[in-house]
Amino acid sequence: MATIITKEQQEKEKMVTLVSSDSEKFVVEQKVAEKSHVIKMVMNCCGIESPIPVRRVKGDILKSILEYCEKHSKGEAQEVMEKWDKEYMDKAEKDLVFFHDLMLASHFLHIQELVDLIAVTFAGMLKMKSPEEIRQKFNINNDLTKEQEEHIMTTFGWAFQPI
Amino acid sequence: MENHHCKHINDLPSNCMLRIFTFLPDPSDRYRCSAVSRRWLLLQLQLQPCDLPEFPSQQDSSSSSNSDLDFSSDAEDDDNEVDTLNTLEGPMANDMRIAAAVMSRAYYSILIELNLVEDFPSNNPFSALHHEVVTDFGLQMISLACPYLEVLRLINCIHVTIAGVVFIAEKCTNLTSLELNSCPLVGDEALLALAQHSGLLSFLTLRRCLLVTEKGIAAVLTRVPTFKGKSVLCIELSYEDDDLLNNGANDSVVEVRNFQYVRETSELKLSSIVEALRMNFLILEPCIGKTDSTFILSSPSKTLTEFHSIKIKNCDKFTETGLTDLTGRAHLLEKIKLEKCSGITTQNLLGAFINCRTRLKYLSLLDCTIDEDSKQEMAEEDHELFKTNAFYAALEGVKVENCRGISEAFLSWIGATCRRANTIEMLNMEMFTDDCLIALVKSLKGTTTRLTKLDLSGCEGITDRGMIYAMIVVGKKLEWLGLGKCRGLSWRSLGKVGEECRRLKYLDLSECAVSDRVVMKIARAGMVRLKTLKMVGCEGVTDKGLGWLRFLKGSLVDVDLSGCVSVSEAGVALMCQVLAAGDVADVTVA
Repeated sequence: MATIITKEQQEKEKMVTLVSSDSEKFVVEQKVAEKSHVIKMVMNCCGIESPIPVRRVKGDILKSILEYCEKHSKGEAQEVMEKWDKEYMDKAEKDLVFFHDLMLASHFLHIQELVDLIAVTFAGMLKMKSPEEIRQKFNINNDLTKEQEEHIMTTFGWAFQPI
Repeated sequence: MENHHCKHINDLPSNCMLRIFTFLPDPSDRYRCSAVSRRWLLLQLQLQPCDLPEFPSQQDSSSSSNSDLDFSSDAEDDDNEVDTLNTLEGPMANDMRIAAAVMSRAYYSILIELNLVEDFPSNNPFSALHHEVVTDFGLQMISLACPYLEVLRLINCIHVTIAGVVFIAEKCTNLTSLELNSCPLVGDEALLALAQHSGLLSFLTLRRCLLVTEKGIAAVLTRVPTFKGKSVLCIELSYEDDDLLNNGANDSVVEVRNFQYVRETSELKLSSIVEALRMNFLILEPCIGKTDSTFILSSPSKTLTEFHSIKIKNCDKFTETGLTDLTGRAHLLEKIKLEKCSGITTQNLLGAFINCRTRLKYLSLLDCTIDEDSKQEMAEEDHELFKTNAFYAALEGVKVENCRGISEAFLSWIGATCRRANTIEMLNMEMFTDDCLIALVKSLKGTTTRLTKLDLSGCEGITDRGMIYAMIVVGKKLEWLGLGKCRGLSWRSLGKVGEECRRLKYLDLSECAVSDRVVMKIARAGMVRLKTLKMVGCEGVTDKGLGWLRFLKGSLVDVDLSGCVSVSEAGVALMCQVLAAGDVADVTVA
């Protein structure tokens, strides 16, 4: 679990407070926060004394992200990490909106490992799907012109064979 | 929340989306994704050049999220960088795409060929402002980025002006071929610039460039050295550019040779065309010019030795003098096609054929109205000529369709010349009578006939007399016989068809007096190769007749019985059994 609020100030590691867009406060170790390239830069220039506002990220998302960062700052064995990542993703991808926000937030915070992890999972959702299935799943409007669609279909017809 | 859900995936920034797609290693997944929406296609195109039919682009996310950008997959991209051929067509032909292409791929610096093909003018007057079309700006970018460009085609680029072409001329000095097709704002100054800078230009096509005049063409012809030494392979001119060829051809310094196509020519240009000694293909379409006297005016001594084919269409004023003179000098003419020419007389045609008798292989007369008066004047003389000149051994194909005013004698004469013809088509020729047919067939008699296709559709003047004779003489070798609408034929001659034509593959008896008896004769004749049988509107055919067709089981694949009112459903069912592999087309049952 992420280290939330009331942790004793006397921890060995320096602590930093992050504030989400809905004013939820998270106190985490500096090295955890450093997983985010953006926060690291902020800490470097502004110090860690004052709380760092993360205005673009909501509380629940930030909590989940910090959970990931904390786990990944511990330097555990690779198999353990992979297993943990998988579980983490399984949980996250159940809610597409949450998943999407997670992607946005990790992208915003420049946590490349997490972005990649999410991207892999996302890619998994696209595999072996027809364009129509993808459109339905993600509720995308087909704004291709007939000609464009036909061109793709004729050029790469083999890719559209029933799987 | 629901609303949020609706748009979530397309909210992701392009970088994220691209990252996702990089984890799709299977190309087929990628292609499917590219068919999801415009944005997805766009993103896919930015990814891996090796996999997708991409138009090159490594746009940063800010510009690719600009929805107007449309990088779809029209560029035929072969990875061979030297022979890169690129085409931007329709909505893809716009400045933005050019910009993206030019900026993103290093090898554009060695781009050699570029085609920009726009759709017909968009209705939006501001499209040029928004760079939705190709403008001078686009051409300027090309000129800066592609110094080695050799081939450029601008088709329907209605926003390109002189300035754009001048950019190209100044920077792309390796240009060898330029096509300006329907670029109405490009004028002489552009050609002047080309003349000045493009020393290697040897191929120039101008079509529907209304502002281009002889001044511009003359500049190119005189100043570009390659035009002198080599050749203008193709100059297509529209009728607006009347004197252009004159300037080229009559100038003693410039020789304009090797015209492969000359279209839409009017009087003045004809004189110059004749100067184009090595021209081998002439198409004269809407020649609304005054007369054809120019053929005669131009130096008469010259021969058109490489002139093989002539097609003349809609030329009201193209009369005998022109045709006779033309054919007189084109000794090697092989094809003559006259379409909708009303100024031609029988004698004129005859003279033309005599002129090029040695090589003429294909003759085609479509919708021509032969002058009545001169026909009657010449009638007597014609007969003499017809008799003495029936020796056109080379004629291989003849097609006469919907021509009025052609005399019987003339048709007979044509028929008599077809000794070695393998295709004869006489469509809707009322004047083609028994005598003509007999004359035609007689010429084939005794020789080893090559005639395999005979189409007499719509020749109502033919009766049993001619047909029976014809079948006896040429029937054995025929493979294709069309007798549609030959209402003058009775069951006797049609039956004869069945008896004589054993090799037929295609037989059209539509709207003829076909009875069961005829069908029986045809079926029992053993036409083992007959594949197609058309009996549209043959009211005399009944189920009984169709029953005979079982003899042709095995070869027959297509029977058309539409309009055969006497045929019942049972008959059709029977036919379906006979035609194992084929289909019976629309059968109308009374």
